[in-house]
Amino acid sequence: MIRLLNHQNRSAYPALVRAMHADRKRVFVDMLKWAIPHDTEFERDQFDDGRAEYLVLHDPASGEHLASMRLLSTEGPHLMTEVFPYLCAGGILRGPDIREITRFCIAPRRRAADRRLARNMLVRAMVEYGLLTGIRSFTAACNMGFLSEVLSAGWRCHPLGMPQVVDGSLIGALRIDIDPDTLRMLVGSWSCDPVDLRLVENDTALAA
Amino acid sequence: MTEFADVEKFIGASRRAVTPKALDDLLADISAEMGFDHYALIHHVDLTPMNKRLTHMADGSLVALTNYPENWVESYVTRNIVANDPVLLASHRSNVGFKWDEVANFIKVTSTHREITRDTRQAGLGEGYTVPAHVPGEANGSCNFAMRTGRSLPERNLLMANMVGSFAFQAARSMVLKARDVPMVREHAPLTSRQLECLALVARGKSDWEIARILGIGSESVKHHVKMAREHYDVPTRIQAAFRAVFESQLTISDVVP
Repeated sequence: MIRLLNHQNRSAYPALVRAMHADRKRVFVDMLKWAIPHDTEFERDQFDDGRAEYLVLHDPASGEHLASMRLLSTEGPHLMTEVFPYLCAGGILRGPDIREITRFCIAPRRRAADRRLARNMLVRAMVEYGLLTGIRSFTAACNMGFLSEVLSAGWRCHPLGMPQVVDGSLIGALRIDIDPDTLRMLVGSWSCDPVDLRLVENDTALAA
Repeated sequence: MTEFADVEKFIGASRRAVTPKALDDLLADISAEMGFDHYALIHHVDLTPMNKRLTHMADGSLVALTNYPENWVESYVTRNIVANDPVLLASHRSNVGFKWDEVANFIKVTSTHREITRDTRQAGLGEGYTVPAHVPGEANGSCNFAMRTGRSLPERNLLMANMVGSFAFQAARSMVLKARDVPMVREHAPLTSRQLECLALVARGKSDWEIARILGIGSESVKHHVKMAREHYDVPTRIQAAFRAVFESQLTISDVVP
């Protein structure tokens, strides 16, 4: 199941939020060696505040965190304005219909095939969420080592500037445009069954 | 125009290109604009179907567009150098572009590799820059830019070459995919997670008995899972099945190397 977490419902899922930050520490700090704020257990930074939204894939039975991404509004400060402005030669793309993807994290415990399925489900949820809420584009700073994989999804993806070497890695800013066609483009190795995406709390209305 | 404007123009035009020839022309133009003498955009597979009319792309066989010297292409294909080209082998170990003189940073260079490098030079290709194109679950590919022997790489355009190479590969791959009747990824049911677990342990050199102990299942079950995986890939040995699972990215190297 994929759940949208935001400032309204985040406190209802403390274990899942902790598991996500713990996996982010494993992936981004321990494995990828990014120089970002963390403690011994969790990775979180100044953008993990009330404005952040998350799409989180988890196993509803065990509660295990499988994959997640953070979506930031591009109207306020986000990574492209605060950390990577030099990646956007043509200016930083901002607006109410543009979200920035950061901390795209696939839990490292599973095998490659399962991780790819988790990737596909999360990306499909991201596109569906975009279509449902009127998001036109997603932006992201991307390690160029993954560029071929990102492009292979077949969607309309454009660079926002020339890549630069940052801490020994080649990083570039990308824009991915979303429209109803995008879902049909996610085929072949990017395909997955329709995802169970929960954007609202089913139970709260009943309780009220 | 700035370099970035050139890249954007190339991306737009490569998306609109309908025929392999149109894409080939675009790649020739931008390679020359960046200051390279030659390019080779290829899938790392048997290149025998390659031909000058580019029907190998139009019929969905493979990605291959190049303006390497004709004699060298012919020799490259007939000798099946693609399987042992040190530059391509190095590209499997790198995520981003690298210069050909850095190959030894990625692989152990053997005498066969040195021989191929010597023949490449004799064919008129000296320095080069290779942009890997890894798409999980599919054959490897790369966009190679080369200089005539004695000429230096256009250092200031190597970042640009990274972008151009990746977008060019996707444009060519998408063209080939569209031409295929069958999708690039196998459609039959994927291996089960138990089968993958067993294959990962097979690749680590474990016996059926050991695998059974590790997974907490019976030896007969292990035998069954491995047999099903062999039948899935239609291969006679367990190690071949494990390799195929890695090739298809059902398993990664980190799954099989503890």
